[in-house]
Amino acid sequence: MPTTDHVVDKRAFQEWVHAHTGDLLRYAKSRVREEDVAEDLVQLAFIAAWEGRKKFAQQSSPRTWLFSILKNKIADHWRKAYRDPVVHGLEPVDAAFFTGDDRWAPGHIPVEWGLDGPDQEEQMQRFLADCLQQLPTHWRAAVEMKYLKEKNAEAICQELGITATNYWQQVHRAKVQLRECISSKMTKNHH
Amino acid sequence: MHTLLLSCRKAAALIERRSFAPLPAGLSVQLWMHTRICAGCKAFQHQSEVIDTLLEQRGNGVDAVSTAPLEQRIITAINDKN
Repeated sequence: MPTTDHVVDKRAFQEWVHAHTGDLLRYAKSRVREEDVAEDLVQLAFIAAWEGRKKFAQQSSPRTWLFSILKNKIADHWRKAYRDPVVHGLEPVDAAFFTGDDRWAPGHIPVEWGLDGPDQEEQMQRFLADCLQQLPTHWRAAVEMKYLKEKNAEAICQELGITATNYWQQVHRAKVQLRECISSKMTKNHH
Repeated sequence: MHTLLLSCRKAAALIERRSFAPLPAGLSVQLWMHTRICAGCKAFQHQSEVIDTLLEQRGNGVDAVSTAPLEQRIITAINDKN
């Protein structure tokens, strides 16, 4: 195929691979469970970018364009995981965190974290990463879909085949669980 | 503690629901009242915001990962495609 000035040629594309793989992989690794899946998604994103290179037409930076393709690949991944009937087991509910009359149960009452210092953010990110790995798959899928941003809630519900209420409730339960998990790691860390 | 009939469980759920769509005015006021009075739910609200920020900032770190083998795989895959 003859290349023209406005079409990305193979040489330029290889430079993109060298320049952006690190950032794309870091992003993907923080958003899926397994490292090899993250690598596959980055590779799929580059292949899709190469195949769709005519559409790039310099309208945005390569980085922005590659990230938007990667986000779509991550969304595809979680949509598939969400629909996989195998992963839908018994889901934990937030009932454990509340008393019969819906107050916070003893031992689960949120207490301010008292965050200070910039080094704490890194630690919090580590705690979060650990706690995300412990979420049931379809809760994790709901959370990941929410934070991929590009898509609005309505579109996500359609893709996952759930109602808006079901969707935000799953994100909510996931976050209650995450908060509890992070809190317990912080408490352990202080002792 | 009644806090205008909003339970902690419901308040916590509304804190998340609000991030998807604006709450009806009545609920919004109830939630505001509840979190003014209830320290647990106030802390929950703060922490929910902290978790949102952390979730958004994931993967922005600068930890070096060796990506040379992956880069090579990608380039090979693209060469196969022409």
